[in-house]
Amino acid sequence: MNYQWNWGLLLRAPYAGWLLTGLGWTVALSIAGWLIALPLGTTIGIARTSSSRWVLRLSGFYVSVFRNIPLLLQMFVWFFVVPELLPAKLGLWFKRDLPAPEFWTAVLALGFYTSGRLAELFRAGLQAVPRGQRMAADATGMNRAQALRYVVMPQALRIILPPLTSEFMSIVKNSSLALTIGVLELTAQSRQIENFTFHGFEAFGAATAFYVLVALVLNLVMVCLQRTLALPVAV
Amino acid sequence: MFVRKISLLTVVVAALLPALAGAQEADTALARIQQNKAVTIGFRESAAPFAYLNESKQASGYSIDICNRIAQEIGRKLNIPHIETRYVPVTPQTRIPLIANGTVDIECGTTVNSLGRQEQVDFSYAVALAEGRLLVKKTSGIQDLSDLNGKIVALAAGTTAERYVRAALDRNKINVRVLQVRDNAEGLLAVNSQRVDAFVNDAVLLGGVLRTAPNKDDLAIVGKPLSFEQVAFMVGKNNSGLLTIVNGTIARLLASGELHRLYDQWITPYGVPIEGEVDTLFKIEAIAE
Repeated sequence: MNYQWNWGLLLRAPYAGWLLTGLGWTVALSIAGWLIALPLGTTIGIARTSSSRWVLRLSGFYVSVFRNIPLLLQMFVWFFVVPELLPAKLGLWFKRDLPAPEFWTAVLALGFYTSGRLAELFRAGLQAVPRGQRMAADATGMNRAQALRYVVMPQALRIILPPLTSEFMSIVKNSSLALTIGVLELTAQSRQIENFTFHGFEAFGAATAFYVLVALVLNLVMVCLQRTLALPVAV
Repeated sequence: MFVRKISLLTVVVAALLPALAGAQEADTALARIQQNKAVTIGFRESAAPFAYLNESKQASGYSIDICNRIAQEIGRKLNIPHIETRYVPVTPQTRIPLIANGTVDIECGTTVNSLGRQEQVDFSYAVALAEGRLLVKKTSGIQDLSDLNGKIVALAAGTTAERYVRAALDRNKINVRVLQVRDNAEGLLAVNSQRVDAFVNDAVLLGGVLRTAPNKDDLAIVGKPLSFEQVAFMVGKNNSGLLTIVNGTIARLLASGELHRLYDQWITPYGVPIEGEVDTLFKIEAIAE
């Protein structure tokens, strides 16, 4: 192979700085997206176990829209279509005056997409709690909200903690799609380095290492959380 | 157990690395061409007028026409009577790996020469100049870089525009926000939807955007050129024999005036005729026999 390796390049200015800012944007995208996805996903997930047919239908529709449309397409819709549908002034603000409009558009796309996936996760978790638990809560005189809050949800959360970890890792990896609407996150920065220096293997190698690092840290945090939350009796 | 696996992996990687770095013999590309009796040209599928797929899905354009002549010249030099020309599509992400692993002998597209890039590949003589200019809406009133203070500018990802735009902005103490767009079509969309006030790119490529724009009467290409970058062909490192043939062909085409004819056919209609710096460049590069 006729390739000149130069790993030292990654430590030089400005490329080291580019990689680190890229990492910063990736982490920021993931966390901000997660902050939208978690509350939304929980709410829709609870709605998916509702006994009202209308709530069931509406939440089912929400999940099929946001979970079934490819994230890339959703990014484009948020970026190109939504601002044009808004009233002219608001659309212009969304496109121009908002600080870092690309970033917030990507956060919305990531957050809503992930919320659809989380909703199904929560539904499955809630349904996995044995029926007897709900009945016992009923028998002690709790209403439905109390039963959910004090009996069912704490158990469901523990059941879904491992797949929740995978979803958190997924949002980190999915955030790389934000480069298509101009967010200079980790993958975009390594492409930029490739473009300036033609040392693509090194740049993408560094990006890979950073993604693995983020995933490992996340995994560690979640394992610790799982240990702290573990109940003396297995659910 | 785990430690043993890691150390085994290290041994395997260490054994592979010299093999990867090894093959540095000179003129591997010419040897390959001699063996296959074919020249493989890497081309861009949507970089009109330099290189693109035409209506009948054939590689065509200014760079392709020149490279076809280069391939014929290689055939003459190596005594291969009916040399075959193969075309392999490349993208900004794949062009370097494909040259490095020998899939592509010459890359013929719109690649800009820079010192940083020369550490990885060698460039031919320039066949065109990339002049960075601004695509704006006529109603915006923007005439030059100095009108951009506090505005938003789009740059195409995968170009070197970022560097000279930043330099020009810093020099003139102009403060703008930059948005990266994926390609020229998206740059046009960004200008039309008022997401940005100007789209900076090579004047020839902007000329192409303007030709295909549905609202071309509302748009204008303005401003003094922000840069003069060389558009050139790429070959792998340590291929001086091949590079000599490539450069020799370009010089002869310039001396005979044939390159000027190709330029007028492909590039001039995009609004960048052979005058000023381009004319000077062509005179300098027409090296005598």
